[in-house]
Amino acid sequence: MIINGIYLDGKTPRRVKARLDVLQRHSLDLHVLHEDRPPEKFQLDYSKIKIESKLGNTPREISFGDDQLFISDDHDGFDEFLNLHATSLWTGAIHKLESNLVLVLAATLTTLSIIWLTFTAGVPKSAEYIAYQLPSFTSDYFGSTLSVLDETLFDPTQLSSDKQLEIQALAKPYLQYDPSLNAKLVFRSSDSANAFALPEGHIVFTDDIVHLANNDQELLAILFHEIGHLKYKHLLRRALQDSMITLALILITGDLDTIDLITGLPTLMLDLHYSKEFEREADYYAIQQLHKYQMPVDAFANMMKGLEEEQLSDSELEERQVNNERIDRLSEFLSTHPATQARIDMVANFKENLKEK
Amino acid sequence: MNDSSTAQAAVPSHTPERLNFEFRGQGMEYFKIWIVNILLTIVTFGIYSAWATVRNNRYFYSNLYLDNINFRYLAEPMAILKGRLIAMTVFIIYGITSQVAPMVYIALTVALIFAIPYFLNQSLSFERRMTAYNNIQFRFKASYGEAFMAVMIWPILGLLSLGILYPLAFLKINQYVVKNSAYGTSNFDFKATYGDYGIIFLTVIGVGLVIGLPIGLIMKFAPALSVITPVVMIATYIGILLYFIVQTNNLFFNKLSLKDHTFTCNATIGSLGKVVLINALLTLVTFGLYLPAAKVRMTKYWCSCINMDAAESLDNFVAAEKENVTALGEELGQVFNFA
Repeated sequence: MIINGIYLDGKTPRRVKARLDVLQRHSLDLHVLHEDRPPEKFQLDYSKIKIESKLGNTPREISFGDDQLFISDDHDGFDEFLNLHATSLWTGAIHKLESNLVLVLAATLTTLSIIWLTFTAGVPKSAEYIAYQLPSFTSDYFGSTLSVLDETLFDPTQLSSDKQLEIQALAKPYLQYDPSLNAKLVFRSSDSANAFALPEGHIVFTDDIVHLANNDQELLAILFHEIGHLKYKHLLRRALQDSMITLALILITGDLDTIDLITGLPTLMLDLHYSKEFEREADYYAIQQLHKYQMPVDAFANMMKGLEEEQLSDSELEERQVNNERIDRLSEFLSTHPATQARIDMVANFKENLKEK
Repeated sequence: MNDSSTAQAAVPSHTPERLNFEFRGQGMEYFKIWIVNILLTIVTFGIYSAWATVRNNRYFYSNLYLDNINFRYLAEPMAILKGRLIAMTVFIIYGITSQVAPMVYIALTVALIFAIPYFLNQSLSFERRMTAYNNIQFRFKASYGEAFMAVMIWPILGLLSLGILYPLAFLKINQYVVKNSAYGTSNFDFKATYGDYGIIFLTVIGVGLVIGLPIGLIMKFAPALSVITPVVMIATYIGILLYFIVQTNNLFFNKLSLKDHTFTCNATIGSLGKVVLINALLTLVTFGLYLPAAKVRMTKYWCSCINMDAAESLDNFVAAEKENVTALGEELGQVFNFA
């Protein structure tokens, strides 16, 4: 059989018509049909040539010798030649996989389910495992987190020292309950009512959140929530999960050309999703603790309501009541925390479950 | 450069022939290759990713035609796999030291920052060396100093001068990339000036101010109207981004030359905007499954904008000497996201 194509010598860009004669099993002759001189003949040795695998509709290539190249658009001829003389099944197999529609569909579904499982179960589970396996000294690296925040975000607290001592006394038994957490309560001033758990064990209350709490139970609800973050190592796990997503995406997409624009959004979405999961876990822990110490679990719900009212101005609150649901769903989607209503509902569900028991 | 222009002078000059770039890939065809790549990569725990990269690149290079002749991608998967494994190891060690040995981590970071120009050179050499047109390979050869100036010093000077030198930094990095690139033994040339980039930057700042200032005022003094401001701001941002991409790319190709051959690029904001919009919408609706087809559409668009004005036959190029390059720089660049 004969395959017509083009020969290139690897030193110049001149394209010369050529003919590949496939004679028998071990004989492959390339005739280069020069225009200005007699034809040239190369006897190709199967073991010394490189036949590129089929890829879409692109020209077929055989390279040999010193960057010499034979290319051809005769796909049928090339396929027939490879069927007779294929040295490796491997290369043909990939193209068969790519051109079989059923297999491609199956591959799509398999890929989607594997990716879904990886990101919903694989990444969180392995991050959790690693977080609990890591020796405690790793967390010391974050030791300066508070001092960094002091310089950027926080100002010294304005609370009176009496008030501070009172709250410290209130919190002390719960902070010391699990000594391995190394939990310490500190006060700082900031522009909003908030509380933070830093990985080395510092729990920060802003002055505003102290003012916002109507009673000791509400303040403890917040404290339990932050202790929950520490107990479940949420900060470390979130950092681990984020780096896992990035590595997984590098492996999956193969090249990072696309990563910034198009994979950036799903990465952010996943991070927010993980963050909300952790908040729910910490919320549930807080509710459980309130119940355990025989405090009203509604304290948590009240605190959530108070926080929301503090964050939104009056007009926004009114607007919110009008088209509550749609805004909530959108803002929850784009937020690191679950919607306030969902967090309050969790308290109601908890009470419901208690009654059933 | 010089001998070809004297040769030109001797021969009666004829009008250059316009050659088209064309991308012949198809969305569905590439989707199949892409999805099989992903599946096999996952099933082999990432080992296949090297083969996947080669198949991806081969698809895009082999379907890129200039004057009805296609480009080729030459890299071997094993070379990429080796580079990738080393790069991943470095990345993991780097990550671990950040947790257990902060001092080593800082030392490593400094070392890595100073290694960036070196690996950038390596990475560009590998990419060029693995690209061929008409069986002649491209080349890239730059000194550490050139790379260091282009990617470290000039951008820093751009920042320190509050942006006044930023267009110059932009020019310098393009000069570094273009002038050190060669097709066979012939180096590319780049004739853009500080002014060319300055005008683009000034326009961006001007438009940003003309639209940004009133919006700032509305938000401050008429909060009731501020509902529309996010929409206007996002539209302005996308518009400016499109303008910047279109202008810098057009400028790049219009000032690019190889021997006496020149290039033109005539992308427009409207046509690129249409491609971006269709791609973004379909990618969102299909949860990312449209991604490969979007890449094909984008490539088709850019190829349709770019032409080459050939001053003479393209047969007069000569292949460069053989050289060996590894994929390590390329892979480190990808893992650490600097190349």
